[in-house]
Amino acid sequence: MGLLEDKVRARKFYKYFSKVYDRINPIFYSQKMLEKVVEMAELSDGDIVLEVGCGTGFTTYGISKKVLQENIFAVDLTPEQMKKAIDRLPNVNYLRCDAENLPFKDDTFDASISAGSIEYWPNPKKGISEMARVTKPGGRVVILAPRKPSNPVVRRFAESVMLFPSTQQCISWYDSAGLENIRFVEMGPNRLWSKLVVIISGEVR
Amino acid sequence: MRKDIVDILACPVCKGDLELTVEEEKNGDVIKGSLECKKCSEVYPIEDGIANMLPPELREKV
Repeated sequence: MGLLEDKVRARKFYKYFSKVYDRINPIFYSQKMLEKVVEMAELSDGDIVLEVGCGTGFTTYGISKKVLQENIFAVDLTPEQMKKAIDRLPNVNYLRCDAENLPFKDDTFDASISAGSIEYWPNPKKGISEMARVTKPGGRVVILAPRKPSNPVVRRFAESVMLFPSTQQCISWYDSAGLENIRFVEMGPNRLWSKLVVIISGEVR
Repeated sequence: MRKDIVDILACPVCKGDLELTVEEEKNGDVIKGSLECKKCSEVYPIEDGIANMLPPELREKV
């Protein structure tokens, strides 16, 4: 059991982490990754988009370049992080909810996106199924997840803090959620750390 | 919270339809109120314009 797999601990961690988050986050989550996430969601004008785990709104901002803020539904567990997102993008629809129990009707969104959040979900398989459920057939579910580090020492440390799914693991969750046409890319912030994250996209049947 | 989004919202637990009660509004947006599930009767609060749609057991914990 990692330190942040528990939702209460994740909530507390982020309450304090939110103060420095915007300064630390760009090291691990680059502009290039953000662009790839949005591109893989295949958004069009007028699409209604869900973002799970909006945090301070870094990804939300990327989505708002493609669709109107009014068409974006950004959800998070923590209100502290969300405050920054609200300041940045005041016309987005914000809700507090749990990724594994989404409060939306079936087939609601044209695409669902979650970047840098899955590592805190105790049951990622359920979270992905929920994203698939609320997305319309033909729409895409896109997730950016940190990869399991290949160095065993680094991996041991990382796994004590968060849950790091492997690319294979993500694909199997996508499969069990009934997602099709699965595509993925592994990316990193620089040449030395070129496979830090996996961005995976699947189509709802 | 925009009033019309109730149409796409569902109870996070049983996925039932919700009924909106407005206690305070500003420029057509709900500032304070609640959403009640028509199926399981669970009530979700809306505070400072944001609906708290966490399942009841998580709402108390986080």
